[in-house]
Amino acid sequence: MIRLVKVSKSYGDTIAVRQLSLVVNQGEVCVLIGPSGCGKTTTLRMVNRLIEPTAGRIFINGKEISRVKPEQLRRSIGYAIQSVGLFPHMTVADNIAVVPELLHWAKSRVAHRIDELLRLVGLDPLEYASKYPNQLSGGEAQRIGVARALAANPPILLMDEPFGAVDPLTREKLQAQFLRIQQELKKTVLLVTHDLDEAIRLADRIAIMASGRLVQHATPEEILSRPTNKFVHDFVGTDRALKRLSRIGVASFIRPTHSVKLSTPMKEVASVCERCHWVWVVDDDGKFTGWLDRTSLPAANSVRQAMVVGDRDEITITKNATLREALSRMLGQGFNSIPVVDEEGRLIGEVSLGDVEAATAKMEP
Amino acid sequence: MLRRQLNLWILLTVLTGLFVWLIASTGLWEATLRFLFPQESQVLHPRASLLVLVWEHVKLVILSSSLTVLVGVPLGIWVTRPSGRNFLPIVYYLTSFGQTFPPVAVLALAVPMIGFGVIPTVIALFLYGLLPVVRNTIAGLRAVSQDVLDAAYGMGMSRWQALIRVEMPLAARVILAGIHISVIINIGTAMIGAVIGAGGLGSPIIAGLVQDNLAYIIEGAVPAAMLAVLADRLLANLERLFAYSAEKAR
Amino acid sequence: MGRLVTRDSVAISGSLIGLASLLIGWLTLKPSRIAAGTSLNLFESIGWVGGLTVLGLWLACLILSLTGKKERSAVTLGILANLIVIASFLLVGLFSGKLLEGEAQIARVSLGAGVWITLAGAYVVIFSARQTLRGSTIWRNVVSWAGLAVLVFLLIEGWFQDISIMTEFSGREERFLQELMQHIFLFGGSVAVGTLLGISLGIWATRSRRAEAPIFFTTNITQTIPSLALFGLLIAPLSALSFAFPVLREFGIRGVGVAPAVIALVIYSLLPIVRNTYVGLRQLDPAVIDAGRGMGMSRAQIFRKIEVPLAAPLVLEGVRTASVQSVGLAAIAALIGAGGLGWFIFQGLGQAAADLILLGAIPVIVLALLVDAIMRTIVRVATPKGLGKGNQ
Repeated sequence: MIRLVKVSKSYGDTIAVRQLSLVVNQGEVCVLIGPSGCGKTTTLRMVNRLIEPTAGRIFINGKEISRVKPEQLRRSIGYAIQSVGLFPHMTVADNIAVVPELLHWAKSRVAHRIDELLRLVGLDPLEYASKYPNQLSGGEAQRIGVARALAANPPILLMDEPFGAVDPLTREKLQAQFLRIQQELKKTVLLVTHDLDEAIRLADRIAIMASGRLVQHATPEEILSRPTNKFVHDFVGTDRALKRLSRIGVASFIRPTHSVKLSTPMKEVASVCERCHWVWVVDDDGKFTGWLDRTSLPAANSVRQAMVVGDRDEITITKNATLREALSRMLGQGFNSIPVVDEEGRLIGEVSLGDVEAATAKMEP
Repeated sequence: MLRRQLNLWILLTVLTGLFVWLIASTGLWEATLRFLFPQESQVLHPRASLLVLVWEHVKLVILSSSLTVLVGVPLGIWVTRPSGRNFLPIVYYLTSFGQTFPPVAVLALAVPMIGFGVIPTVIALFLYGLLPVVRNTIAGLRAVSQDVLDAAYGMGMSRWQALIRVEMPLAARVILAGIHISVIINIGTAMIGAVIGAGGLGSPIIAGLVQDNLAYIIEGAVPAAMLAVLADRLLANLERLFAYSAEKAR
Repeated sequence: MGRLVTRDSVAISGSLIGLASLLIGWLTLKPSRIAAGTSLNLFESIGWVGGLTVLGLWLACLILSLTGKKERSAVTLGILANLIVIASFLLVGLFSGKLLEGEAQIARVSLGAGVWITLAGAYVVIFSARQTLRGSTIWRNVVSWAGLAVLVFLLIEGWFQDISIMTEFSGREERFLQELMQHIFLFGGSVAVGTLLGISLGIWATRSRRAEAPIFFTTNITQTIPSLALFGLLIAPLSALSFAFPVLREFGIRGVGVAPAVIALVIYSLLPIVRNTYVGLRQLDPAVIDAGRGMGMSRAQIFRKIEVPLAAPLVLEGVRTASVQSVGLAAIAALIGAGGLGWFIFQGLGQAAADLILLGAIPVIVLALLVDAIMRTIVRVATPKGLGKGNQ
């Protein structure tokens, strides 16, 4: 648990953070957000004493941090930053091993940990352990950054725009991965970002800051539905309803759907869902491959010939996706329903536009 | 890459061996020089054998360059630490100002102040050699990106650990390049040391010039040129050893 | 805490250096030009009044740098340091004459370490003041140059005629001027030739892949060879040549002398110029050249209107490096009979006459600094406005 009590930081006459009090509960992801210069990074860096507060007290698990030696403190807190800051002269493995080595772990334990962490962030240890940072893509480097922050299994993680320096697509993947890892590890996370969508997606609670002050600290749902003042209202923008969709998973909206197999004979195809304008097509393993438009049936003599081949990554969503992703896929493809697949790409159902609309309508204003 | 490194080291070792063998083969030198300069009655500098001259020269350079590294690198580190940061501008300015001074003038100035012999030569070489070493140490350390340092401190390294484990390895190549420049300048300037009585490979050349003996000049010039080129290649290879990059992984 | 941060440790160090310099000898009285002299302390050198003046000025400097707020005290500190410089010059010139009164004709007075260290300390303080005075150009220049301007004035006025290095100079004015011209001719001529050759080689290296490696290999290797060794290596073939073709001697080509000196200096000036020309041309953004071609420029026009102006600053930077280096190397050329200011250095070393050494060494240093300053100005002027380089 992190607790900040009336913390202030000033540089000469400029005040970066004023009288900030904030609690991050055990296992909770708290996202600090606000316009640039609002003091969010300063706040983060005060927690691991990279910056010393001018006034106020900070506690970690009840212990005041100014009583802990800075180096000791930092070794017990994971730290990941936007620029990653991987050490260019060390391999990926050596980079991850830094804190465990500072803590004098045994060699075998360190090696084991490196393997475990690389697997956790979805990189093959055999391939990546001996690479140098300049051989990594931006997304890979960010993952190593996260792995390095987790190296000594710290209960607390500080992250300063950890997914900032990559393209939107990669960022989305990294966020999904972060959520999966967080579900597994339940760290106490303080994360800084300037991307509201990221905050809504990742946070258990969002702390909005402006000119060094904490303006609102609440769950994303609450912030979106009940902005405390005009600043927050403007900050979250006019598409609040849309943003709230990204807090809702598709899982409870999945309906069974009709599909045909590639090998299904043509005469049977006609009898599958006679009311539907189209049906999804799967291969023999049940993996999504495209769809079939009823109007093209008479001209063709096999499913393969009649169907439209669809890119699984572009069209389908997984059951971990949010309603917002589902909606964005539908609008992008011009469909009024979107197929949902499992990890292997097997079709498990669909989400329809009508259900999404209904969910939006049910939200509080 | 590693293989190429190894091959280069083997080559350099062989060349160094050849060089030592060559300067030790007094008979060979005498015969060659006699053949080239039949008009000279004496072809080898009588003061000392070539091996001794080379050793004197190498000693001058090693002595002054070690002093340079022992003083220059810590000085460069100090002015990039918070405690010495105030002195960074003046030290940096002095290194570029000082490099404008001709080395021979620095050597000449040492005589009125200290006198003749080995000691003033070593001191002059040391002072002049400091410039590139300090300059490159500063440049190398300042080139370490703030993000990397931020990560180092954020992960719980102490200032000392960050310096030793992160900053110095990253700056090593640039610092070595400074030492490289410094040593090569010192080998050249040490030649002039012969004029103020420091011995070394300059002495046969000076003697040859004074006595109008071409053979002496060649006896000093050829090994000096070989020594410099050999040292240059050795140091260049050492620098390459500290290149951290993708190449090293392969 | 705030005080500690603004406290100027550089100025404090300068002041401490200055105060320390008062403890060592300021002037040295020698019975003759080559005899060892007796070192005179501050008060023996420049009298009680003079000594106390300098001491007072230094103490003021120290107190100001310890207590004053950096920004406000910078001008005062700078002026104080310049006053120390000027006072030292005035007093040293004045008292050197007084000390020689009643001494034998051949007695000399030379500057002791104390004077030099005081000057060093004063310039440390001046540097620190300059750093602080970034905003005000006028004060910066006054603080930087006042002391030097007075020095030049006093030199011309003959204020230092009783100091041994000037005594050494008087009676050798003609020789000095001659060697100075010879020195300028040596390095200037070689750098001029080296520049033409270097630029051509540099362009060739960018245009031909086959030429690139050998050009850099050769220039790199020759740059490594000690100057004295290269001079030596050139002497033998040149003297053989002049033996074989005595005609050559009429053109001044002999084993020793100007010929090997110029050849060696040209070779040394090649590397910086070739390298910078190459880099200057290679670093050009291909898009710029492409744009030029797209607008219908011919290859010659692209070279003249795009490549030359954009590469010029780097090329000139190479010429600057080569020039400064050549000023020093030309001094060594005196050893092989090419003359120049090095002549005084080596004559002085030969006679163990310290003042004669200084008469060569100090002008060589001043010449190098001047050449450096002039070339820096040229580089700055030649840098196109849009490129922020050249202003260090």
